[in-house]
Formats: sequence, structure tokens, C-alpha cells
Amino acid sequence: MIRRWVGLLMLGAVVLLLSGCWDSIELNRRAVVSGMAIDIQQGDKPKYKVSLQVIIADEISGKYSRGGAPVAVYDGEGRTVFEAVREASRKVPRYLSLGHINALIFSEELARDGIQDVLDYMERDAQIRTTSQVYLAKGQMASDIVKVMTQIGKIPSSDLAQKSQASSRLLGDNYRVEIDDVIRALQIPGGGPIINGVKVEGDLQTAPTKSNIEQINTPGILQLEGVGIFAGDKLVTWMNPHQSRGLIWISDKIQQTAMVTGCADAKGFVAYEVIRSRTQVKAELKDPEHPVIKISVRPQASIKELNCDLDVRKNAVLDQLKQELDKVIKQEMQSAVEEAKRIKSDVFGFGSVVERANPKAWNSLKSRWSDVFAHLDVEYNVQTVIRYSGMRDRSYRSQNTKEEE
Amino acid sequence: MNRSRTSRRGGRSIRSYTAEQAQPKSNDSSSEVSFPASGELDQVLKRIRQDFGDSSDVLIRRLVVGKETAKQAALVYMNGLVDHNMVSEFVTESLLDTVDEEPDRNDAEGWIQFLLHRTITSGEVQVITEWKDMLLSILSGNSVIVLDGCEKVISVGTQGGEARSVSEPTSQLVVRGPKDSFVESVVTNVSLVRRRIKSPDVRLENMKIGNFTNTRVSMMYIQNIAEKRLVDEVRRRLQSIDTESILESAYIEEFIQDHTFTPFPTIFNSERPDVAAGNLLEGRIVLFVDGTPFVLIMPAALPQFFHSAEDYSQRFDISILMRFVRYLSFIVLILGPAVYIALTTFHYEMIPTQMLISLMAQREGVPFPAFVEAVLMETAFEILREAGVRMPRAIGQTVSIVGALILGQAVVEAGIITPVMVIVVALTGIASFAIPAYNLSIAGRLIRFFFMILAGMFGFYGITLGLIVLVAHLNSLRSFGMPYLTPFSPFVLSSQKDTVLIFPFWALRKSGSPQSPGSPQGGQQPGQSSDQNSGQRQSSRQSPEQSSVQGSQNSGQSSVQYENQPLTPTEERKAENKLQVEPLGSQIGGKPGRWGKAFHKLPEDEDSNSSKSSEEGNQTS
Repeated sequence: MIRRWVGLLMLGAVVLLLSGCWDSIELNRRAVVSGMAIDIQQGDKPKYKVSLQVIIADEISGKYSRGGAPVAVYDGEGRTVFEAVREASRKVPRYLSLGHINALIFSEELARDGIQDVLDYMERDAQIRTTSQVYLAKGQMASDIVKVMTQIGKIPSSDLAQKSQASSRLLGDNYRVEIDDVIRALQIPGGGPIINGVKVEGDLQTAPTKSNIEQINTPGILQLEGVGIFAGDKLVTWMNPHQSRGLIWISDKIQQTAMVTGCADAKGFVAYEVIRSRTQVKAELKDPEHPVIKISVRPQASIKELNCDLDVRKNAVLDQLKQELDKVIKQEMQSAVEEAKRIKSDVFGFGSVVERANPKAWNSLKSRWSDVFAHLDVEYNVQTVIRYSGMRDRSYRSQNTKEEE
Repeated sequence: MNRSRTSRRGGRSIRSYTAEQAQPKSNDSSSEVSFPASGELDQVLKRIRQDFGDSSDVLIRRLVVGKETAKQAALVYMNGLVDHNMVSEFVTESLLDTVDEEPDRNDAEGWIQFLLHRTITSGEVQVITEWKDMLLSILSGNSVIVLDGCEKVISVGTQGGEARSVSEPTSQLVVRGPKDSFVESVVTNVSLVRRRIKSPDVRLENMKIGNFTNTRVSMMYIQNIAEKRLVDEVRRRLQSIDTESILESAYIEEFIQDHTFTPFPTIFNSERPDVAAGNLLEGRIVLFVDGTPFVLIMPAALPQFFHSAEDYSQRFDISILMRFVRYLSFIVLILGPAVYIALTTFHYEMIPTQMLISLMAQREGVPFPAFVEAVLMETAFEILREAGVRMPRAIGQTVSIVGALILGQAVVEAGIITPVMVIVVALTGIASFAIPAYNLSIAGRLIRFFFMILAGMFGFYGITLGLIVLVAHLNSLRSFGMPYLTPFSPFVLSSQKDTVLIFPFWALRKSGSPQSPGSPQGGQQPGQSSDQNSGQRQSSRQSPEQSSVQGSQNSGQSSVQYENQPLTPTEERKAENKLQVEPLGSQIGGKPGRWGKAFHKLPEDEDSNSSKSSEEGNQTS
């Protein structure tokens, strides 16, 4: 009995003491990285240049703030991303901790070169979470993006992540793209991911300095800019806001968005807020060689602005408005599909829709899907419901109102 | 609670001393002395004085009984232990006031009968033949009438003297519910429970435990609700106790509990009569120990320690919420600091970014790792609490202000401890007070440190391992044979009505309701209640040679023979291990069937065990 206890005790001691405090790092020995930007370099230099945006907690909420910047950017170079990250530790006094990366920014150059290699590290590393958002620095160095002082939200990467979230709710021409989404999209044959573009609007010189946030009119501001679409892992082109919203209609990611159409007959515009929407994409393979994609969208909209004299109480008027709106939405989707067809990249994932509808046919189509996709027939069916007219029905300037009174 | 370990150790050292010296002496006196032959009064009184060492509080009142015969007699009692009014009114007066025809002067038996039946007006009368019993009777506050020429004495119950009156409970408070609490006297305590359950099925058995202190211990149960085997087992364990002193119910608890090496209490205690009554009705056994207001209630499963008397006085929905809060606070208590340590030193990625930033900012400039910080703070808190317990009430407030406000504030401002750590420690501290059972709360406080160490070494991995070990340990515990996690671990559906949840009374009382009184089982129980029996039992405790014999007669099974020798501490441990006998089925916590059946082979187990332990006993002897 005693021998057993002694044995257990020694075993416990060995287990506890020899392993020590494995993996234990106190918070004040960590450098928490909030954003990572990856550029590629030309010439003799190592391929990747990684810029790490490290949070300086003391400057954000500490008692011992020295009035410096809330984040610091350190960079490292390497033949692989991992090497570059570790190389950066020459400059950082603490353990680089990648678990809180909010934003991952690729330079446009890197995206055109191919993002496959980089993403392997993102997925393989235990710390980086695949729910971090991904951005493309449109026409700029990715490292410039992580060096912008932002006004609301002290950490630029969180600021950026919040911007894309807010904008996707309000404007709806982009949506959260996470590392995970990108990796999944890369695995669709003939398809490719889409990634939100971002750029520093304005003065690149002032943006990293403190004077950037000392003025009401911010000299350099981070803003979302278009959506990059890929063929495979290579960036091919950028979509404009209309096209990108068309893409989002199709992929059923619309939360809320603002639409504008002309007034049915009169001059002026009507603005709508789409409050919810549902999209169904189906494939019809009457001829297995020529699949037809049928997209039906059911948005519900509410009138937000009415700049012409219409009586929205009347069904006929509403019908007209609805058709206008349908047309606009259909146009947006069409232009997105056209653009994708042009670059032969199935960013919508039509391929998997076809596979689901007819797996056998898909097997024969799979190898040449890019070509099939380029000539794909797509049918649109938009049935908007105009649900609310806002706080009133006719406009206050309406003739009708006066007559009735 | 206040009596700390030191004093208990003191008790042990006394025992080891008496084991060598006092014990043989007392044996001598008992063997040498029965009554002086012929019972000559002077001889008897001299012997009494001698045995009490001429103590000044032994009062001897000589008197002459009878008009014609003028029988010499004496009244012996202990000053301070008796109620003087009772002595003069019911004893002295009635002795001096004999009117009837008296027996012959030399007819000793006749005189005893005469006094018993014709003169003494008191209700509690007993004839004692053993010298030692007589001494004990005097020490218990009875008045003893010694007659010239008799080898017997009459003991009259005149217990009284100063005692604390029934007051509000101090440690188990309720907002709504009965406001009385037990006191230090067994008689009062028993009456408080009797008053609540007016049923003849309530049984009471008395025994004296402690060779030196002769402490009265009363076992109460309800005949047809408490399982017989359970009653027998408790009685057997009590009879097996061989110790010098019992000063508090905790002494008994340590002797009869199933497991020694666990922080978890396996016997419930309470100072509330309503709790005792409620538990009796659920089939548990209540032990009253003279000299303490805390009664022992057994068997006890873990969920019971989360129940408060108030659960039954409030609306059931409110009570459910309160119980959830208590379970939650136990989890917070044992895991709070551990989770904090694990999060900040291992799993920083699990903290939301914004919170991480503020935590990091706080940790900036703090010199210690989170683990050291937590241990420091928890230790400081334990010191504060310990100081607060012992502090006179007037100073208590100062301590809490200095401790909580000033110390807490200063320690953060000095940059030694992070503010979040203070929050965590304060939270766990408060959580420990939310648990109604104090002994479970201290168990939690102890376990908390183990979890902190595990978290400091392995993070959540360590916490998870610790939890697995904790649950396994809880599963291994038994309280008088009943699994400690009872309605959870052998899952009993019907008991879920009053475990974490609590159903309204009409739904609650159906399954566990007392059977109708006077059901046929009634008379078969060997352990009758009643006071005669208790008297017999008292005497059986006096002479230990008898006790084992009688014990086996009473419980109807060959119980372990305990040697009447003082045990050295290690032997004592062994003896205690012997006590950890077989699991008993019990009705507590639900229907008997579910896991009770699993233990129905009990008798063989019991036999094998008792034979084994008697072997051991022989070896030790």
C-alpha cells in the first residue's frame, strides 16, 4: 500500500515537475499581433516581407501611457511566411503571438502572383485563426495598410475589420471574407475566391503619423475599395461596387443594402433599403453538356426616399416600382456573371450547384468547367416585394394629398 | 468551529497520557469497589468523598428518613449541575415527609421500594447497583439517595444548572423559516425535534461515549422510514468508538465517517431543528452530542450540502434559482482563479481582443506571474477571513475595511496585483459564502489551490485533468454506504425533484412520504427507543466488557469486537479503517430499488468483513 502511494507520488512529481510550465507565457511577455500584411519583394531579396502590427496595450488603456502610437509595425523577410514572421522577432522584445490577428492583408502583387503558398501557413499554424478577415491592398503596399493611424478604434486592424462589417450591413457591396472562405473557394474546380480590396485614401505620408488623427479631416483614411476576384489562386481583376453587389446577390450574402432606381415615368429617383433577401441557385441539366443555372432572388425592400410624385398606395404604382427594382438587381447580377465569365472563374460556385443537381454529368464537365462556365446560360428571376413605404405613403409635396384634403 | 486543531491535538495528547496512567487506576477503582459490604452509610459516604477527591462541589446532605425507624440516609449531588429547586422540592421534601408505615429498619430492599413507590415525587427515578454508575449519575446532575445498610442507591433526575437558552441560529440563517436553533444540551435539542414530529415512530437511543468525558450521544431516527440496516450500522460504528473524550460532534464525525482522506464532508451537520426534522422524515439518522449545538445527520450526499432550510420556505421557482446560484458559486469557488490563470498564461487567444488589451495593460509592470499573483491574493484573503472569524465583533468592521478596501486598493495601486485578480479573488471569496454548508465551502477553498497549481502548470488541460480526478474521487466516496453523488451518479429520476431542482410540495412529498405509523415492522426493531432502554444502554457503556456483548445482542449481528485497550494513534487509524464497512442500501435520495438492490448481498460482505476485522483485532491485541 505504502509502496503504491510512493509510486504514485513519484509519478505525479515526474509528470508535474519535469514537464514544467509548458507553453506558459505571461501576458506581459507577449506581443499580441493584431494584423499581418504580406508583400512580395523582387530581385535578390527573400520573397516575402511580412509586416506585423503589434498592439501596445499600455498606450491603449494603460496607466503608464507615454502618448505613443497604439500599435507598432515590425517587419521581417523570408523565403517563407513563417521564416519572415520569426525573422521579425529580432526587433520585438516579446513572444510574437498570432492568435488575435484581425486582418490579414495581401498586396495586390502577391495576389496576382498567387496566394496558395501563403495560405498554407495560415491554415497550418495553430495560433492564427482561420476566421480572421482577408483583404487585398489595392494598388498599394500591404505594409502601408497596417501603418495607418485610425480615429475610431485605436487598433487599425480591428478598425478595418469593423469597417467591412458595418459596410456589409449598410451598403452591401462587400462581405466578410475570412481565411477559411478563401481556402474553401480555392478548392472549387475552375473557381476562385473573392477578397475585399482596401486602400489608404489620401496622404500616405501622414497616415502613419500621429497628425493623422489630430485633424478633423483625416489626411489618410483606410477604406474598402472594390472586390478582387481570382481565377484559381491568382487575382485577375477587380469588380466595381455594382458588380460586387451582383455577386453578393447571387451568393445570398445580402444582409441589407441601399438601391436606387429611376422613378417609373417621371424624373427623379427612388431609393430603397433592402431589408432581407433570399436567393436560390439551381442547375438544370436537360442537356448534360449544357447546364442552365437558374437564379431566383426574393428581396424585400422598403422605400427610403421618393423624389417624384407617386402615390405608393396604388398597386399599379408599386408594381411599376417593383419592376424597376427587379431590373436593376438583375442587371447587377448579370454584370457580375459577365465579368466572371470573362475571366473564366466560377466565383459563384455554380460548379457545385451543378454537381449537386447531377453528379454524373458533373464528372464529365469537371475537367473543362472553366470553359463550360464561360458559356453558361444563366436565367434570372427576381421577385422583389416592396414591403414598407417608410413613415408615410405619398410624398408631402404630392398633388394627391392636397386634393384629398 | 472555533476550536482549532491545536486544542483537539491537546485532547489527543491527554488521551495518550491517560492511556498509560489514568486508565489502570480507574479500572482498579471499579474492580475493587462495588459497594462497601453491608452498605454502611459512613463507609459509602467516605468512599464517595475519596473518589471525588474531596471536591468542594460534591454536596452531601445527611438526613434521617422515617418517623419511627429513623433510617440514616444521605443525599449526594453535584453543586451547579442540579436544579436546586427540584432537589429541595421533589427529593428532600419528600424524603423528610414520610407518613406511611415504614418497613423494618434492616430491610434494605424494603426501604428502597418504599422510597421509590411511596415517597419520592420526582418523575425520573432509577435504582443503581454499580458503584461506577452511581458516580456517573452524580456527575450527570442527578441526586443520589444513599441509605444506610443498602448496597443500592436511588438516583433521582434533577438535572439543571446554567444552560444557554434556545436562540436564533448563528451560522445557518434564513430570512423566512423557524428561528430557533439547537443548544448545548441534548435534552433540549431532542425536545426541539420531538416537538416538530409528533409521532411515536420517532426513536431515540442514548449512549455514553468517551471514557473520560462520558458524553451523552443520542441517535434519533424514524422507525419505518429509516432503513434498519443503516440504523444498525450507525449504532455499530458508534459503539465501536473507543476514545477518551468527545467534546464536539466533529469528534464523532471523524470516528464514524467512511473516508478520512477527503476534503469532502460525508456527514452533514446542522444547528437547525427544522433541518434535523426534515432529514429524519427523509429517512436519515440524526446524532445529538451533548455539549454542542451541532447535530450530525447521516448519510449525506453531495447535493444535500447545497440545500438550505430556506429552499422549503420560499416559492419553489425562487428556490430553484437559488440552488442554481449555489451550484454555480461552488464552481466559481473551485475554478475561478484557476481559469483566470489558465486564460492569461496559456490561452490568451480565448480572451476577446478588447479584454485582452485591458488585461495586458494591467499586467504591464506587475512583477509576478499570474499564478504567484493568484496565490498571493488568495492567501491574503484567507488570512483576512481567518482574522475576521476570530476578531471581536467591535473590531471586525475595522478589519474588513482595512483588509478589503485599503489593502485591495493599495495593492493594485502599488502595481503588485492586477485589478482583475482582485476581482477574481473577491468573487471566489463571496462565492464561498454562498454555499450554505460551511464544511463544503472550506473543502472548496482547499481544492481551489490544487486547481490553481494545475492551471499554472498545464492551463485548461490541467484543469480538465483535475476535474476528471475530482469527479472520480467524488464517485468513490460513500456516506454510510450511500454513494456520495447519489441522485446524479447512480441516477435516480424520482430524486431529481429535490436535488438541483425543487418541485412544489404537492409534487415533492409523494414518493418519500412517511409510511403510516404502526405498520407491522414496528415491533421487530431491536433498538427500541424509550428511556428504560437508554438507561440500560448507559450502563452498557460503563463497563466495556459488557458493551460488546450487549452491542451484539442488540444489533443482532456479530459486530466487531473492540478491545478495551487504549489504541495508539496508528492502531486507532486501523480501527477506523475497519469501520469503513460495506455499502449500505438506503432509501435516502430516492426509491430503494435502484442502487439499493446492488448491495443486497450485504450480509456476506458484512460477515467476511467482520471476521477479517476481528482477526485484525486479535493481531493488535
